[in-house]
Amino acid sequence: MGDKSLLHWIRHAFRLWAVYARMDALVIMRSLGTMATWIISDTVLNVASIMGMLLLAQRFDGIGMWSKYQVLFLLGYGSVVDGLMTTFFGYNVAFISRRLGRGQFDHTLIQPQPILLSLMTEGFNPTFGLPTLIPGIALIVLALPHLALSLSAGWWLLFGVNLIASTAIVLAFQFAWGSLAFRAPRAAEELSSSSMQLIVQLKAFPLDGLGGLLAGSLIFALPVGCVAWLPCRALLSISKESFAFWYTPLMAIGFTVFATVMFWKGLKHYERVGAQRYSNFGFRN
Amino acid sequence: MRILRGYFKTAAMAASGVLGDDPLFLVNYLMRFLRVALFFSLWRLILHGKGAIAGYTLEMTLTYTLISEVCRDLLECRTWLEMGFWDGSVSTRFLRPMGIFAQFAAEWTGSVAFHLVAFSLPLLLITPLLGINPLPANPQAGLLFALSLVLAVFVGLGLEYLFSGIAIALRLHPYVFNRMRGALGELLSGALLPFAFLPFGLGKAFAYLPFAGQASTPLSIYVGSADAPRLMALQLFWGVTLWIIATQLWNRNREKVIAYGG
Repeated sequence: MGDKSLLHWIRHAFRLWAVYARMDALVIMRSLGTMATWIISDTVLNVASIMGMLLLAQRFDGIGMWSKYQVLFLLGYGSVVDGLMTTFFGYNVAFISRRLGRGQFDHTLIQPQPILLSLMTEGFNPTFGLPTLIPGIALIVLALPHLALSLSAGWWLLFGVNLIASTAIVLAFQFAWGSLAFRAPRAAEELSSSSMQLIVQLKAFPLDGLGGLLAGSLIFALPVGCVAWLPCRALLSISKESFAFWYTPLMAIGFTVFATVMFWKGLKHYERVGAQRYSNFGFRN
Repeated sequence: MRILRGYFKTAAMAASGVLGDDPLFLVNYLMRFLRVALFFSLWRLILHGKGAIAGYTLEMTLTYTLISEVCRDLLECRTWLEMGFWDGSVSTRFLRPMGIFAQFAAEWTGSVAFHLVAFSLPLLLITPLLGINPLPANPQAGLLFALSLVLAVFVGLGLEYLFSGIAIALRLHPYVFNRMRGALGELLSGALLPFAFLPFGLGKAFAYLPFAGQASTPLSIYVGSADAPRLMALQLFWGVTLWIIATQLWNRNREKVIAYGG
């Protein structure tokens, strides 16, 4: 593998994404009933999860310093991050503790390609991701005309960078916690499920009214604030600091380094002890 | 008496099983605490200095949110009946000399008791430190709340029995079903937001749905903002209606139910 160029692996990644997208479409289209059930339920679920905050913003014409349309943008941004996670890291890649806890990581290790490439491609499922992604994009599109923003190319670039950074933070958080399943496969199998639930349930809250300790914990320890609140404060000019655009990308670098160390250490442990249990449940096979 | 002892033992096993079978319950407690803390901050952000809005002061709203979280396991009434049918584990329950739904309800009672002691009680005790009054509006409201809570469980279990029956009859995937029910139920029941705060008159419409009897009715009685006798009569009506419909549904789908997931 060492003699292959970076360009080769990038091409290979696109080929794999195409294969997985096709497989994903085949799974969901095997019956009209299955397709309708998944699309409708995922759309209803995603809309319902932000509906409370949306109704509050409508009733009180905003929340604290956030106007109604700024809240709409915040919720849309959070949903798009959710949608990107579902689209690119489905099939228990984001829920990595399940793969590790069920002894399925050997499937990844025996493939003749870098582990990173496998993890970046195996979870690609655009058909399942769309019901989460589309409502989020719709909310942003609805909010933008009502916000006093100059939507320059630079703003869109920062929007993209922050969006990728937020997604990277969620993934890194999942991997950092999920790596515990290398050491305690049974007890930590569902850890990613709990940590993802934490992110999904709390991502829509503006953290402005919280005390320093709690707000700090929700940014640096459990990075709920980095999913939408922190980047949206910068993108919507609620935070006046010129450096605010870079808080989330910098946090993403920090969390990614931390998650890589945690995962690498877990992998070293796994090399010595291997998997004590195996279940093929939930793996893309 | 002997039968009752069976259910009690089942509940006790479920309560102790939380520690062994679900080692992540502490992470879930952390999440629940953070969520309620965020709601407290949200209400302070929105209602601070605004006086009463739609009959709710900031203090009443904070108490409403606190009691909603304290009683959450009771108000949600999730027995995971449909999951037992989906994975086939229900088959062993047919061998026990007890009713199927009653077994699930007994297990639910046990795990609720555990969570009430391990999470709800400590939460209730620390909230005065966060500046929130955990007490009911007055002693009468407290008494009516207790009665309404019993009716809420009656309605909640009726809804659980009915919806599980529908999920099984339609062969819905329990993962899809649970996620949808959880997200919609929280909003429609008033557990997330008091109905008085919903725009477009949604609150008035939601108040007539059976879900309201699960959370909104007992919680609004607790904070003293409700016409208790009328709402409790509505709870009773929905409870009886739901149980009749659910029983009919299960009887009509008996053969399909036996085959499902077994």
